[in-house]
Amino acid sequence: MSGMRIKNHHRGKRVMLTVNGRPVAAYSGETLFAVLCTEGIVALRPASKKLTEAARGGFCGMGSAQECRVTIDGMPDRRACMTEVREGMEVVTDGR
Amino acid sequence: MDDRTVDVAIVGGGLAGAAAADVLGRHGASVLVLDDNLHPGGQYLRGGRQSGGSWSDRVRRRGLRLIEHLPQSSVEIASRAEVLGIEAGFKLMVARGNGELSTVTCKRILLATGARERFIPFKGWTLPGVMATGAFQILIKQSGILPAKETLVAGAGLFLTAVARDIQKSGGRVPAVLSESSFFQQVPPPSLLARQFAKFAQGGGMLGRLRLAGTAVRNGTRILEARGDDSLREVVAVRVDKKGKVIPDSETVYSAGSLAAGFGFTANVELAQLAGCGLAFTSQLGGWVVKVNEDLETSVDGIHAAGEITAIGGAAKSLTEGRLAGVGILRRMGLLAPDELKAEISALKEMRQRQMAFARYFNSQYMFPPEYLAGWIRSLPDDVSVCRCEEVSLGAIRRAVAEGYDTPAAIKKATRCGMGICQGSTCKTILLEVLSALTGKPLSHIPLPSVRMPIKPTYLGTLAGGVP
Repeated sequence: MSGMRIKNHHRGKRVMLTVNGRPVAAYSGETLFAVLCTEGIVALRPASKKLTEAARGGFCGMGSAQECRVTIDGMPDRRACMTEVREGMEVVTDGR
Repeated sequence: MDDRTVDVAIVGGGLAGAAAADVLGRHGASVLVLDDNLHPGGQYLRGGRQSGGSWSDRVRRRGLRLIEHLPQSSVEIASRAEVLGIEAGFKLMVARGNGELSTVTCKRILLATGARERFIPFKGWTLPGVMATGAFQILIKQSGILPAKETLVAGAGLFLTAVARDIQKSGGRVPAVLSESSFFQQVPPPSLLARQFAKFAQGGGMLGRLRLAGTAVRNGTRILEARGDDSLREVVAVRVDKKGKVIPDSETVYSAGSLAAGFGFTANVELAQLAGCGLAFTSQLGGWVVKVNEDLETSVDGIHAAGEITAIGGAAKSLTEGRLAGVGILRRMGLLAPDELKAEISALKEMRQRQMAFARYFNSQYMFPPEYLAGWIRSLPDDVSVCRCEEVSLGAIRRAVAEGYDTPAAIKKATRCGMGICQGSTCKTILLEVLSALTGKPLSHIPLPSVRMPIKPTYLGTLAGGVP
């Protein structure tokens, strides 16, 4: 699964962030969850209890499922769907 | 945000909250809207004017205008503000996005906390690539991004068609819409058809356009399993009969990297429950909702409620109720004479009745009769996950019920179902429905698990008074 930007959406200014050490271009106003989708990064972390090997990805998109937790600027367990991208943001995912 | 004192605190900055803030602010009340999202407007107005399309949507246009023109001298909107609890005298404990904790003191509260999606689980629903229907709409509207070029849409209810159309209009392909219920399975009563003809015509039009674009629309079809290793690869669907029984040898395998799954909605009643407001389970209203009178007052003096938490009913109903609740609060505060706005109020009340009639039909498309739902849940295999956070399977709950644990509270203790980081926001309705199916008790007789402060996941640093 790898996403795409929709044509007739008005976008903010271009920003650069890094995801797992790799530079990624995005636009202000986009959520981190959306940007990860366009990059094809769907597996974001291991399941909390690690009873199963399967990874987890974003689910509800509205901040309640807590499934899209990633590390943002060194702070763990931040919800990607509730965070807008910023210039220089450093993101680490643990979806293996 | 420093500690604040206002006349009215509104929890939720969606259409209901905004409509109430507008009328309250224009009649001299000081209002603070506490909204947990990045931007006001709730789920319906996500993306604001940045979002392309949807300009034929009259409710959306009205809502955007409303929020852009809120009276600034009397109404303040606090975004990224999560209300963690309500104390007597009305003190609200609020966590801000920057990690600060503050207190808001107010005379009256309007709860307009909206709804979230309801799920009926299937094997593999925790795989990355399986997402809620609402997540697709949010990604499209707020960020202008489609998570995949091709998306399968499945579940139950009229919302599936709308999501599939949004994906299509954004340039995505929808190979199929698989729905447990049929659009016309429960034929709407003629009086409702006549009064809400535009809505049904819109629904029919959407179906037509989906089919024209090559989308297969399959009714009476259920997701059996989502398969994949690191992420979704294929979806197995089966046909079901009118009673919800799986038809043998009816499996179809769809190759899919992206699945939008939705089974209707459930109201965010937790804060109302914490405040002691009376709740009721009414299937036609979308399950557990806050009980209100026709002026949108809850059973707790000084606490009012509007929008999805009084009945799942959509954006237009939320606008109507927000305004009605606002007027009711003004009356109680003595800021409106008894005969002021009289004609408008009776018109709003009439409109609300029409919107409630449509809500009952909408909700009947995904709530299902008790025996239908119970049979469905009993047919699910043991390895279906119920609680995503704590990885509690249906089998674990079956064993606990067999050992005599038969309330949500007891099941939580026995299995940890609902005790994870999302605090049960995803699995609570599932657990209630599973318990009803396994014990044979009606859903209205299964007590909601109790809620405690903080009602939302919070960083310890915030509670300790520091910035995490």
